Amino acid sequence: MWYQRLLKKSPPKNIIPLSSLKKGEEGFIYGYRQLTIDGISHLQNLGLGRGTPFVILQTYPCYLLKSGEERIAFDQELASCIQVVPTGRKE
Amino acid sequence: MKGLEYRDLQGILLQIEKRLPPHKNWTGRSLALLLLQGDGDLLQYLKGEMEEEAFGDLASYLETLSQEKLVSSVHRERYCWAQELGRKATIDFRPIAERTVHPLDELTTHPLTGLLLLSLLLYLGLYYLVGVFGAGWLVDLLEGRLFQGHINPFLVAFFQEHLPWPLLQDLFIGQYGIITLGLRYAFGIILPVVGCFFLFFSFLEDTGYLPRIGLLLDRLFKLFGLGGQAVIPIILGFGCATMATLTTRVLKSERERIIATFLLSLAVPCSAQLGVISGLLSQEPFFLFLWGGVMLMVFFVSGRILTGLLPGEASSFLVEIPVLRWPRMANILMKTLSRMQWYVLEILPVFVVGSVFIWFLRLIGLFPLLLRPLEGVMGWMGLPPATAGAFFFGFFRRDYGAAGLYDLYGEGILTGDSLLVAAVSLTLFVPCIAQVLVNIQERGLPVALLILAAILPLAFFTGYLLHHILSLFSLGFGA
Repeated sequence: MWYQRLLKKSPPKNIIPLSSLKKGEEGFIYGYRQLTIDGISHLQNLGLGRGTPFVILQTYPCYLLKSGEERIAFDQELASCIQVVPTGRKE
Repeated sequence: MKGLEYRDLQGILLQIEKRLPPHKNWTGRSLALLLLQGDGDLLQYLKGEMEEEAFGDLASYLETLSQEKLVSSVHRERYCWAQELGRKATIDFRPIAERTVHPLDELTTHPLTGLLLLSLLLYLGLYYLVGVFGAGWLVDLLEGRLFQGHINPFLVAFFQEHLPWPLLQDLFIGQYGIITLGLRYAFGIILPVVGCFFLFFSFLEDTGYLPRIGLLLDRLFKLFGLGGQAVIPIILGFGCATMATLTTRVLKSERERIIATFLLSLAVPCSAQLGVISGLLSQEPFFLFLWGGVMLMVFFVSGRILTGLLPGEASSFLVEIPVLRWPRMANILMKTLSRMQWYVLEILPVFVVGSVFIWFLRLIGLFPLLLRPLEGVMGWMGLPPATAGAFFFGFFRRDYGAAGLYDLYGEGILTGDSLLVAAVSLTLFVPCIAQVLVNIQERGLPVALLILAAILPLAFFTGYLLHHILSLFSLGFGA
């Protein structure tokens, strides 16, 4: 199966929850943890699929990130369920 | 974009399509895509339509697939396709330096400036536009000058001349008559106030500001068991709590839906009620401030208690924040007018039926008997007996009751402390008939009855407590 081949690829070493990032940091979405299919679908419907690059605009009172032309807000609990790979900081 | 995964997805879709029977309306591809995304209703439908062996083959094939990976892949392909289409169809003329977030966008989502802006918007929109302009100036013009000065005297003279039976005269032009009370309340008091609220709400909607309120208040709402998603139904409740109760369907758990329905029924005044009460209390601005404070306190305390009683956690908050844009006035006016039209069509029959019902009760001598127990409760809250009538109207519609308070204030019956106590307890008092029906439809009869049974004593108890606090600490605000 295709996904079994995908799973054999070694994952990046610096995967962290999105909640660990600070304002201005950039990264891309690697996957989701402890989320239902509906939760994942909802995120993907808003454009936050695997591999999507983003920049964090704000972390309080909610997380606000910009990805392409979209800006999406979510709470701390959801931020800790999204696994990301940080790529640096926006100048 | 169309790499290995895309080809694999195509292969899986073909495998599903091969196992599906032909359908007269839908293509095999669309059915297969729905199945890949876990559409349970479609699976149930196919179970009924297909032969047992064929369905068993389809089900066992679907079981071999990893749903999460497939859902992700379908979404990604669809999203990439939409992005590509968007890129082909649009040209961005702005220089790259300007393609960043607008400073005003940042100000509206920042915790400090965002809350300050929200307070300023509510102050200008609800206090000045709805309260001072709508409930003050417009109501004075329409109700005071047009209805009391011209329309009512003309129609009273007309009915006295052409309808010689006092009993029927009473139905149309009596104290609770269809024209003298029902139409005057609907067009003279409530419509101008609601019109101003609809104008303000349409403006907020079209600027793209509403989701920002969810972002700012999510943490606060979590304190009483609701997530930021509940901000939209609660804000809609300030327009019409009945419609807002229908939108509680967007909340993920039944627990959140019950909490939101309860709070909408208890402590969220609808636009008409809010407008009339804020207009009434804006004559004494400190009362408006106290009324808002008591409402917030009841909202939080009852929300916290309910959160403790109903086990579970608030669901996650996730919302897209659109770019702020300057709305087109023509769109706002069109929206406002169509909402006012819908509103008139909804309230007019209720007001006419309300007047006929009260006329009938007076005819058979039951009206004073029904008012007597309410008058007792009014006395308990330190209110004059005449206030019972306004509470009785409140059973029909919240704004109908609030308009009753307006009359009592105008006649000098409600002043000082009693005005504040009456405004607080009437705001908390039972939801209107339409909302009760929607509560039954959405939450079921037992829960709807429980909500109603909790609200009545809570409204009167808050009024009683407020009356005693004001008296105990000698906070008499004039009489």
